[in-house]
Amino acid sequence: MKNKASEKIAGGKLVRVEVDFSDKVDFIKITGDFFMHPETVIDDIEKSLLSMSASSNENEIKDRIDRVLNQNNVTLYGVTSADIARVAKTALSGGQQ
Amino acid sequence: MNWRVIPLHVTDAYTAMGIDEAVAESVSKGRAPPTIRFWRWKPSAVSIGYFQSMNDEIDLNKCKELRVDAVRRITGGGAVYHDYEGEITYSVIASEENLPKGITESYVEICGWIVKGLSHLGIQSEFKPVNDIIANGKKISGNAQTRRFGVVLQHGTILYDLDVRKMFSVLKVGADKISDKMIQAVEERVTRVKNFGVYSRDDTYRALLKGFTEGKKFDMGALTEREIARAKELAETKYSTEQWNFMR
Repeated sequence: MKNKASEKIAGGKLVRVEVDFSDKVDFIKITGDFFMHPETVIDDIEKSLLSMSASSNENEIKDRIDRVLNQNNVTLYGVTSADIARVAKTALSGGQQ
Repeated sequence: MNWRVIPLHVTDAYTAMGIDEAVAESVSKGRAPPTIRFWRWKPSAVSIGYFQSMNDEIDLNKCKELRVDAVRRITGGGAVYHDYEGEITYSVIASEENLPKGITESYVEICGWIVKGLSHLGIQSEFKPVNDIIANGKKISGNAQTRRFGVVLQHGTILYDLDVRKMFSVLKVGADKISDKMIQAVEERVTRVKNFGVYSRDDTYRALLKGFTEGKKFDMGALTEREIARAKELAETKYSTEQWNFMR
C-alpha cells in the first residue's frame, strides 16, 4: 500500500514521508526542508526503516532512526527524530491520502 | 588569519554550487582562508534543499519556458526562487574554529552580519530561528548551513526585490492556481529591501559588505585557479546532472 504524510513541525521545518508497505516496509522516502548533516545519512536512515514491520510504533521507528544518528554523529536542525518517526507512523497508518 | 572577501559577481546555478563546494574543500585542506563571497544568479534559478524532491517542489516545464535553471543545494532547507534582479546571495565558508560551535549560535553570528548590513540602510531586522531574518515582521533573508570536514558552509539570500507571480510560477503551484489572494498572502509574510526606501542594488551590496566585514581583518580577493577548475568540474559532473538533481 502506498501512502504519504507530511507535517510542518511547530517552530521547525516540514517533514514528508512516502511509504510503500504490506506487512513490512518495502519503500520509504523522507523529504522536507529540514537540516541534517552529514546529509548523506538520510540514505542510511531510510535503509534502517526498510523491512521494518509496518505496524511498528512511533518509539520503535524513533529508536531505529536514533541508532543511525548516533552511529554517524549526525546533527539535526529544525526537526527531531521523534518528528520524523511521528510522520512516518502517520504514513504507515494511512493517515493522509 | 585574514578573511578573504570575494566581491559581488554573477554566476550560473551549477557553477555557484560548485564554487561553494570547491571553496569548502580549499578551506578544509588549509589552502584557503575563511571566505565570504557575494553573487547573483544568472540565469535566474530555483534551488531546492538537499532533502527535497525536484519533482515535488518545482514546475520544471515552466522553468524551461522561462529559462530558469534548477539545482539541488548541498545544504538542507527549502526551495528558493533566485531572481537575477531580485536578490543578493552570499556564502560564508570557514573552519569551525572561526565560528561559534553551536548550530543556532553560528546562524546567529553570520545572520548578525546581515542584520548589521541592513541596519546600514536603516532597516531594523533580526534573526528568527530556524534560519530566517525578519524585518518589520516579515522574512527578508533565508539561510542554510551545513558542516563537513571541520568546515562551516552557510549560504543565503537577501531579498532586494521580489516578483511573487514569477516565483509562484516556477515553484510547484500551478500557474492557474496563482490567485491574487495567494500573492497577497506572500506579500504579508515576505518583504524586500526596496520596501524600505529607494536603495539601489549597489547601495544594498555595499551595506551588506560593510556588515559582513566590520570588525574583521580581511582582504578583497578572488577564487584561485585551482578553485575555479574544481568548481567547473563539480558543476559539470555533479550539480548539473540528473543523478544529483533528481536523487530524491
